Amino acid sequence: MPNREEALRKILEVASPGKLTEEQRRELLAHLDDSVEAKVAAGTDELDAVALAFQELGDLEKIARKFPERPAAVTPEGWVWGSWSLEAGYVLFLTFAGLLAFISPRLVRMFDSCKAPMPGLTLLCVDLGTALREFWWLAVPALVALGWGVIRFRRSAHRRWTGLAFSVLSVVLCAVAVVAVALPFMTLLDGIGARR
Amino acid sequence: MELRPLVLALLEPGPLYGYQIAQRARLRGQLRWEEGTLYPLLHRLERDGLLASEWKKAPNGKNRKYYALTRKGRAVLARDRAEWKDVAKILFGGRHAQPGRSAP
Repeated sequence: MPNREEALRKILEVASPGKLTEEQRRELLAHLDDSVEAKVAAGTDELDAVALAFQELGDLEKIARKFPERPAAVTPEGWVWGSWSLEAGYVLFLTFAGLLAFISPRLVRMFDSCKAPMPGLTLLCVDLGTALREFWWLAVPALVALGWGVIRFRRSAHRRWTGLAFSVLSVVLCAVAVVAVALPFMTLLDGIGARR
Repeated sequence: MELRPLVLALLEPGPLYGYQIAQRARLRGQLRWEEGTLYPLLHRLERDGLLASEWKKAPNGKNRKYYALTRKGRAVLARDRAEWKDVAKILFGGRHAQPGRSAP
């Protein structure tokens, strides 16, 4: 075989698409290369040696799942943004959607009864919540699809960065929703104070 | 089977790369395992600070990732050995040096 390493790389990519990091793939490739070389030196036909090397290496899907997940990020203070961040991000995103869909109608009623103006951020969240409730038949499948995407990404080599980005986005969205809910209460309390 | 002490013991004499570890495990203990499962274990041991790794040129001129025991790894190996000696004492009635013989 003229370029064995290249051929092994291609087989490895087909056998484990997107499930191994570059470092893991490089290491397994080195193992396969050594294994094939030893078998060929012992007199095995090269194609048989490749097949044997893959057989001895084992199930690549299983191996990819067994690699420990590295933290998505570590701050200088030692805070670890863990590999669970993708799942946590999804839970937070559901919390955000729930906050918008179920709390915003109550806020609207409350402000309507007080005839008080709503802060801009709250108005935006209320509009989003209203849209979520009106188009629930679109929102529910979208959230389910997002969950499916999270499960798919959990086993991909890009899970660390996807998890980090998604969880940071979810934390920001949740914080926005909490502020949007808290702001009108402060406005109302201010109003009550001003009347007294 | 617990593979950690085996891998740590194989690395005790000096750094080795994955294929060498798998071959030595096979030669010493006639182990039949899926060799690929060694790599997640090596990565876990490295994450836990028991091993350190470095890509270096191997004698065949190709780059290989060498694993070496850290100080923490040596301490864990010593502890694992002591535990396994105790287990062997129970299993072989004090003849843990010759596990092939059964106790009377």
